[in-house]
Amino acid sequence: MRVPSSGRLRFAVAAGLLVVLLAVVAAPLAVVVAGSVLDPRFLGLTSESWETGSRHATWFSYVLSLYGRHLARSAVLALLVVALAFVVGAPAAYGLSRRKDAFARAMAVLLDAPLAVPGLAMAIGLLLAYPRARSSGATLAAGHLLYALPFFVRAAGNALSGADAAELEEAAAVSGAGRWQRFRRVVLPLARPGLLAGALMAFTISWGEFNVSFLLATPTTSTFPSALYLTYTTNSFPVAAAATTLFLAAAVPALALLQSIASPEAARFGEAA
Amino acid sequence: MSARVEVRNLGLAYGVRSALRDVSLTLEPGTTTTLVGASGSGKTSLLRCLAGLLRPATGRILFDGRDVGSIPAERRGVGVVFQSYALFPHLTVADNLAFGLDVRKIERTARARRVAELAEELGLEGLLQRRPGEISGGERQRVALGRALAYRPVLLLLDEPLAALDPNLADSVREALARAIDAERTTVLLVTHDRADALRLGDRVVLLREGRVEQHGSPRDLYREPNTEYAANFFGSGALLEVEARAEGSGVVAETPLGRLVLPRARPGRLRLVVRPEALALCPAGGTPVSIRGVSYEGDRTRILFAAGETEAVVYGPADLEVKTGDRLGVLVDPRLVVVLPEALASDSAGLVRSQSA
Repeated sequence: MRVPSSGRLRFAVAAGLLVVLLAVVAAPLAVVVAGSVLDPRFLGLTSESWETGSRHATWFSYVLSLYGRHLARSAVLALLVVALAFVVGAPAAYGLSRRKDAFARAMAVLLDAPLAVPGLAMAIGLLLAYPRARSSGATLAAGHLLYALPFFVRAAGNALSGADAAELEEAAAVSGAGRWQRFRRVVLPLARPGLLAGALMAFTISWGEFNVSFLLATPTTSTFPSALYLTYTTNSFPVAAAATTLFLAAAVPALALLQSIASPEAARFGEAA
Repeated sequence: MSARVEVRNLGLAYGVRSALRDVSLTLEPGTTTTLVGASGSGKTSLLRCLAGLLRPATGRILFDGRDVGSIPAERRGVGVVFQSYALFPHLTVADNLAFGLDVRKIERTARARRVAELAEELGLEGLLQRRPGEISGGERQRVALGRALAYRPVLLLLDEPLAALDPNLADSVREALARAIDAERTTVLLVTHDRADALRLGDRVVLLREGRVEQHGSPRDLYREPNTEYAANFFGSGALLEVEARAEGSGVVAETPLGRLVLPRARPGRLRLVVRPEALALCPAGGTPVSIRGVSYEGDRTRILFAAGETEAVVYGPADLEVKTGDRLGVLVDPRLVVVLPEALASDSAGLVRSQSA
């Protein structure tokens, strides 16, 4: 008698959690996406910029005409952050996976520190430390990198520090593989899923970053999330909805890909995945 | 080509345990030496030093007279079978076997021929396109062995090759291992904590204790003529007797709690004897009377712990023996199977000079 009742309880809890997830995550997104393609009056909303927008074929082309440059900038910045994460983060992940001393622990803490500091404080810190770099967008890139690195290093490090990664490298060494061959034939293939996951993580973080960007960007370096903010505050709902939909169009596939890479099967078999 | 491997006065400080202290030994070309000892005795550390994965603090390692101390692991030409096998999970069995040939840029057909040869030798023909995650533990072990043998190492090191296998599997793998080692005729050092494996797999046996060589010799030497009480008990524990032996006629005689023993290989004086179970037999009539302290049934035999005076010892009887604690029995000692420990115990721990002559 107790087993079925506890089973029913578990089902009720699971169903409850699913409803909460849908209500909190899916429903707002659905409304926004719907709003970007439907007539806003359909959703019971009225719009002052309806007239402006209707000159364009869809709300999307209107958003692109307004913020296309921001979108392109965000894409370039996200790719730049991915590249920088590779250059800085891959060696860091490798080093942290092989060294277990106090220095390594200190570096790991330092690396994670930006996650615990409000973006506002990070941005102001960067501005005060490197006031001249702001106009070039370098401060902005640095701000994004600081948020992306902990995630990148964690994802790459997991693949590198699996209990036997160091031993596999030793096995390669005694088999006659020099440093470069060990890296190319063993370390890299084993770390590939981790590096890919880290790269996607860095991309999505940079793509969606708002706090730091809002403070650090100049009119010529402002990114798409800042543009989203502008549409929300200055434009009508359909424009904001269309902009958000465009934003999701890039973020969701990246997240889905990340999910497929992060499956344990893929991590185990490296190339096989 | 198999190498003559000399280890001279090797020392290693590596944490508190697993250090090596003044270890010297020689592995003759083409022979198999087993390295045995309790956990933390430095077995794996010594193996890693030979492989080039650990740098010893002091001492030298010579391959055919050449000091390899400054030669990195990848250029030593040593094969290693790791305890966990450490197969490359992203490569097929065939590519794992060929790894050492690939990195040596061995030409394609020669490589394929060697892989086929190893696959046949180790019974891996059907598995060449599988990945390590898709084969059994015993199969993985054989792949690891094949990978280490592929490039014809001058020295093959095996770290507990049988420890991860279940006992039934270990028997068949043990035979396959012995066959492969014979076929390849290389110098082999096999690390094990299993006493029986150490004795049956090695031409020579090295017993390590707390980072030092306790004894080095043939399996028979180590079992039958241990230099120390530790060595004697390591390979087969027995009752330790301290006796006063005197010459009598042509032999040496000692009075012990287990009766009067005529020892064939002993000198008169104070002696320490180890009486293992196989030196004892139950004797229905006569023998030395003893009282039973404990009986345990082991399936194929009965283990009997008994006391003779202050001395406790173990003897095995038939499985259907009906005895219980408190019963009295007669036991006989076969003096030829009694281990006589050498007198010179003070210098024992050095272990070097003697082990060379043993």
